[in-house]
Amino acid sequence: MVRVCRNREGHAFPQHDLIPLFPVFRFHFTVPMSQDAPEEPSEKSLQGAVFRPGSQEELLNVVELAFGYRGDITLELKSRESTNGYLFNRVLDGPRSYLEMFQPDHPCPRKIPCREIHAFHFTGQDTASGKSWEAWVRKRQEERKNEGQNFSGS
Amino acid sequence: MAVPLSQMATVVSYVVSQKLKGVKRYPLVLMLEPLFRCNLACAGCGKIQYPEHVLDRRLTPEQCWAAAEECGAPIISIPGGEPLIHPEMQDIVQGLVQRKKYVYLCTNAILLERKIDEYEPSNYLTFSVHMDGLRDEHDLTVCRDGVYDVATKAIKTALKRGFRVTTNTTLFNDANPQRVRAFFDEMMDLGVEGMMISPGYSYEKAPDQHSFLRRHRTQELFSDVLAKRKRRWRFNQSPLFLEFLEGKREYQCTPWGNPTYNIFGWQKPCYLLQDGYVSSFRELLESTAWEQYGVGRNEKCRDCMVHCGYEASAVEDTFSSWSGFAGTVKATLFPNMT
Repeated sequence: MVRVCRNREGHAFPQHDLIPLFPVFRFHFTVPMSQDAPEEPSEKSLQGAVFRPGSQEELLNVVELAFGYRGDITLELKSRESTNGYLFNRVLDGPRSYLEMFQPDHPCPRKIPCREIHAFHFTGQDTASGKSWEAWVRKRQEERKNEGQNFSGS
Repeated sequence: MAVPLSQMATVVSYVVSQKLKGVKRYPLVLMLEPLFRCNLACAGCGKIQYPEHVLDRRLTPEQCWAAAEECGAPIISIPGGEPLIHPEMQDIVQGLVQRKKYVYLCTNAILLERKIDEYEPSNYLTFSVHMDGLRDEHDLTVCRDGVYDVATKAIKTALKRGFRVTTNTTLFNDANPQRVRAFFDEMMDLGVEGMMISPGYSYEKAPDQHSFLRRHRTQELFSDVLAKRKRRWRFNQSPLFLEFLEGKREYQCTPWGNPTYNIFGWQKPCYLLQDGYVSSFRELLESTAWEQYGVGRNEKCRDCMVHCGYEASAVEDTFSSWSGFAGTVKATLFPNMT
């Protein structure tokens, strides 16, 4: 079941029957709006969330969230090692379940057994909450308006 | 005719041989994605939203050739990302052509004129140029002004050099049928070999979630667009698939017909959905729970009528029964009588 929760700043995010142990922070980009500037993550973005699953069911739920996330994730392992990368695959097969991750500086993917994972940090920018259609249409309309003003002013 | 006879004969003999062998699930078109990086950021595209280090990854030519050989499909479609960004794309294409695969290199054509000298015209190579409508519609869809003009210029250059050129068009729910018909006229005036059309698919990760088509709306739109079809319009796809888009035929999805291979591996279950990856085509066929996908089986498939799921279904229909074969002949010769 998916609930909508709010963080300390009042922003909504989906909560899949899991309570992150840490408060959920959001990144606020301060770059001025331009064509290449990343937008603030959408209300539904998991960017900044941290999950520490306490049961197998919770683990599976977080794995699905992490698998669907279009940004890098930092995994905190039970060995205290921390590893960062893009989680592109999960193979769920009971105790043999594992995740596959592309790390930024490694050509080959790394397999990480699910039983070794302590926490999931959604650390990377959520690339799916990028420039919106509405923003593009708005920008295009403004350009057209400016073109018209320049033309009439010349 | 929109497809050369040699290509048609290859596809027909391939499908017939699969049926004679009793193969239930066979691939028709390999969707080979050698990279996700693109030089456009279209509002309807859900293929490019990845971290930089993932966008920097590419399949090697050897990986591409191995996938083509393992899969065995007679046709290879190379989407992306933008394939022409790949520095070894000419080697990839050359190797596939040497293997007698019919290659459709899907490009937005921004780099086509600059890179065209790297390619040799061949019956096995087609530049499939992304064109989503007339100038205003196309530039709006690709979120950059001027791309339509660049693409049409590149199409002319490629045709002049003797390349096979087709267009691939995704229609969104705000499409104006009369403008689409005018677009078909304009593409045929350019001299392209044929056109490919498909409704959009609502990628979960695409920014624009408002413009995608619902199933009934898809059928209405394509009925309007394809009504009283002009004889000069040539479509580079199954005529039964076009009838399916118009709501004249019902098909179930055959996602194994267009398997996808990319930097993550073989994608389950199809080009559009990402439910996981495996390392071999055989594993893809054997380990995917195919019965869980398709209309009425999976919520994500509810409104999908995209070519990569249903074109293979239409081809299968053609070769599965006399009525399917007769329907194909009729739809080819008399498209306005069905």
